[in-house]
Amino acid sequence: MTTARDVMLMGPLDLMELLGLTWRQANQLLSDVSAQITPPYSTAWDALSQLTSGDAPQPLRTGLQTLDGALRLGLPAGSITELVGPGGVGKSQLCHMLALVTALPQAHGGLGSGVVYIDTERKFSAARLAEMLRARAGAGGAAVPEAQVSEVLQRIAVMSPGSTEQLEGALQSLQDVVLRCRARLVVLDSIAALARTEYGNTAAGAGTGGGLVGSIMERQQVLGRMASQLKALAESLRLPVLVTNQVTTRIAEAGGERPGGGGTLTAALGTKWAHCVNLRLVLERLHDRRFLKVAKSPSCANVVLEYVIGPTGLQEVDRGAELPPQLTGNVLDLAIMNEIDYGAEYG
Amino acid sequence: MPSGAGRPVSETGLTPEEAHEVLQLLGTKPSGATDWRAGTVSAATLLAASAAAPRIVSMCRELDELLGGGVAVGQVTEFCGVPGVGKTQLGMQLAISVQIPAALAGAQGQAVYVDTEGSFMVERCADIADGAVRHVTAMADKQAAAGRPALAEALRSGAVAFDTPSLLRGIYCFRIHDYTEQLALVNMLPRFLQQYPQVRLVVFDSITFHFRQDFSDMAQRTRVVTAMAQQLITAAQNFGVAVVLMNQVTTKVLDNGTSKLVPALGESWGHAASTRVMLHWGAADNQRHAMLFKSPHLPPGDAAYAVTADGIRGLPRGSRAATGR
Repeated sequence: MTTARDVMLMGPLDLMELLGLTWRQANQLLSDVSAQITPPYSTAWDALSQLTSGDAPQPLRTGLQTLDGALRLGLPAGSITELVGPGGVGKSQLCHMLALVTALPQAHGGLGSGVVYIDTERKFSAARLAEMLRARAGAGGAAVPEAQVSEVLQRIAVMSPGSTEQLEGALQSLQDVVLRCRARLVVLDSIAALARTEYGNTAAGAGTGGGLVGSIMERQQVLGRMASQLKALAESLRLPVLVTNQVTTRIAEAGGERPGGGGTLTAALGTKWAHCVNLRLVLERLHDRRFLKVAKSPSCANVVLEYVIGPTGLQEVDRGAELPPQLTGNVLDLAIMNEIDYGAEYG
Repeated sequence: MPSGAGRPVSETGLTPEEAHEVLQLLGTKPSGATDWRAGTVSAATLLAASAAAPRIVSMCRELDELLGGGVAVGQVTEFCGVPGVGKTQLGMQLAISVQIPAALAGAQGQAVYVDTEGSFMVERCADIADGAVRHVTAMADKQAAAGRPALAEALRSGAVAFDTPSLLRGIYCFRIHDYTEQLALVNMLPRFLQQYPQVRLVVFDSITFHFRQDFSDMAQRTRVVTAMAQQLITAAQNFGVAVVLMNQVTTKVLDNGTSKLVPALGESWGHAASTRVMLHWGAADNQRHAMLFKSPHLPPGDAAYAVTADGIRGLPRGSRAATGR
């Protein structure tokens, strides 16, 4: 027994036996140790005053007006934001776009800060970033001088772990990297790819299946650990962490079939992971329209916006109030009609 | 002679009544106290006390009715539900509405908010406080119009402070980073409640998070979590506070191969809270629903609720008929 954690895991009876204390002494010891490690409180008013005082980190603007409005100016610092959606819907586009906004000089509407981009799917494209950068100039923003383009791109540090083990290693060293690049954003694109390929989908295949590292239970353990690390990092350094996630087909339940003939899709990695994220943004495609909705947020109601993918990344379009009815309801479900065969197109 | 009515009965052949009389003549009190009632409370007293203790309302009438008028003080109440269904919203709403003045049958207390997930958003909480202030002001005006201007005047003169800053000052937030801190906080809770006797509500949002991350020894987890539950029950009773626990859900695979969502932390945790409510999405109407599935005295039931800009509210009247609950 060496740490406070060890003491906390024991009852007064264990302490009496182990240390030869009386009941009173054991309780005294417990409450003394507890008093030492209980963090101090702050009232909600203190916290609000601190937020509005100006020295708090600014939220990261996404440039999508409805979203920024709903989220009070942008992605909140200090928490994990998750992007969920099927392949090709624009998750990585949004990641690139936000990385660029963070890295752009302040004179050009950015934050002039570093970005750490953890790319597990090898989808990071510096060319796309440069293209977005130039497109921004064309879209009314002041042109970024060619000399500054490389400066902007240099602010973005890319890590490409190839296995869950390497990803965990990357997360270990993340704090160091973040501080060195003075990053104001961490992107993890995607959390699901490695976990879903390396771990079996059935508990029965634990450790035996060819190439599978472990069972789904182990996978959830690893994910939980990563979530804790990311959350601790986000909070201690006061920056937003953006994580993308894939979708998976939900096991069909009787009566749960949606009109249109498609099965329901849901975010991958299960509910335990979903509990870990603070903010979940769902990107979905219905026919040829694309929608982004806030599916889980402690700070705003569920809002939906429609967007198109343009040269500068995601752009909001306003097509009036009418929204397909599939977009309302359970935020864990994605109303995706399988009119485009994702399997054939992106498999 | 050893005291206690049991021994003389077998040793002297007296009836229990005679033995009792002998012991009283000898001056040996059976219970060792002057009043035989000491240590007991009559059910009548308990009934009166629980009727007198104000409930903490959720601001959704149907949900409050489901809970027998609101969240009860002196008890542990658990809400479980899928991510995004509104657990944190409900927690923040309760932390605000516990401060509703006694003139409106509120608890007029303060709240402790234990944030284990980093989800407590103070700006959102300010919105809910604004909503509550509007609501209470409207109620006070209504009372004044009905010839009872006491509350409206108290609000105006500041005798009853019910504005957003004072509401937010009445919420003590603890940000908990791992289970060690959480266990320590639970140990310290009685001391805190002694120092701040005005606290009527303690919210844990969520009770589960840290215990699902880095515990590999499940037997130890069960032991620690059960001990924690016991401490919370004791604190709720001793200090007359409502303890509200937000719990996550987990997927359980059933024998027939299908799966369903059940509260996390396992079977033995089921004894921790005296009232348990599952928050879920209605399959038919796509609204948020609360389902009471454990209560010592209330029938199981279901109520729909909505998360609005002002906080938790009932469904608008038009849509309520359409949902046909």
